[in-house]
Amino acid sequence: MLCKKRTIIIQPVGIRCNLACKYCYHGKREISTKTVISEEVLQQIYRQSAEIAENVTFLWHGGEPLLAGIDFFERALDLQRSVRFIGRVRNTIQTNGTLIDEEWTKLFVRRQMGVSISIDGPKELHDINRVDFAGCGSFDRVIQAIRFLHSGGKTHIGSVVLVTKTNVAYPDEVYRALKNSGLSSCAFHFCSETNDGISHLIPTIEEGIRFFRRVFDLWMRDDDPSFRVRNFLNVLRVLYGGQPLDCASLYGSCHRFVGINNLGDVYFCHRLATRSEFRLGNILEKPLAQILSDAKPLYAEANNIPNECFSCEWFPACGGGCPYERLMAGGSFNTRHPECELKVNLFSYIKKYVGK
Amino acid sequence: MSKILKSVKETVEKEKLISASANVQSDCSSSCSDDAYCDDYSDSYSDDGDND
Repeated sequence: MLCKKRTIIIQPVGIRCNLACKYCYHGKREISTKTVISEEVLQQIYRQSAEIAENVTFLWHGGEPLLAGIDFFERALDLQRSVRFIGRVRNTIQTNGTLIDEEWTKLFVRRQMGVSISIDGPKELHDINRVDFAGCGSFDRVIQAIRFLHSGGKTHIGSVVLVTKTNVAYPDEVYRALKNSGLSSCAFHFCSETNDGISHLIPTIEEGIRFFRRVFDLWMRDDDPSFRVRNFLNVLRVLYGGQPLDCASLYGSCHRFVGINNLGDVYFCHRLATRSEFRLGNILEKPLAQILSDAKPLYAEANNIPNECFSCEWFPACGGGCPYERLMAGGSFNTRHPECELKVNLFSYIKKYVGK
Repeated sequence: MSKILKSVKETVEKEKLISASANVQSDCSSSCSDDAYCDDYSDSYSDDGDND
């Protein structure tokens, strides 16, 4: 069961968060649950990860992982050093950025942690949905965080941007905000989930096509390779004979990503961490390798995509799309990805550009 | 050719060369057999700006 590389997505505080973003895929958070992952669970995660992959990336996710605190991360990363891995170990964090200050920056730089921040564009767009529990926007705190990171010597800062009804009509503003804030890369996610109460935030496919085409044009016009837009890089890489960069576009790659929450519960995907039917087991009760082996039928089920996907010209760049998103859209994995039409349109647009 | 396209093309070509010479063995499930070729993939719901 030894793979060359696996990503272990750890939720050190579960899905607890200090923000109450209006579209959060975790829905209502367990605010009262304040359990931080124990050293016992961490030790097992490290030891058992070393047994299933040569190279391991630990992606600290949430909720908001920084709620675990600086002291926790110092101890957690020290503990990691006590385990012998075959190959490379990386640590990276996905954060809303609001808690980052000089001390956090020092930790990220000293520990060589990758940082990715969630941001939805300029303040007037970001602050509509990315709010705290008092309803206050988080943009100013995010920009302050980026400043701390820059001044502390963190040169590579990634970002995740959710494209919603709120910002879809403003591609220029969103793109410029990302570039002007000094981020070095971004990955756009199209809001297409069906959580209760967010249907009004889901853009139409036509709006999505206009947004992505415009952002691609802006990116090409800037022609700055130091600013990476992963959605477009995925397609360009395929057009030049390579593979996409992310799990959602690589068919059959779910097994390389393991989600583990603060209690040691192992999930098929961290995005499904609130759904008990996708809990594969607990790392304190069963070896991780066994948990993953037992889950092979589920992984096979997730690979069950509509037959027409396999003959699609864009299968190498799409892979059928994220199983989680297919499941949420249609109730089963064997569902055409909700952004299929958008992707085909955008990919063809990019291909045409490259062929010029 | 634009700087972005040139950069992507060169990166992919370099990866192919590394992959061809790596002779990496993988003994996990068959769907994992292309691991040597895609060492830089990452989770879709994070982007640390530093993955290649």
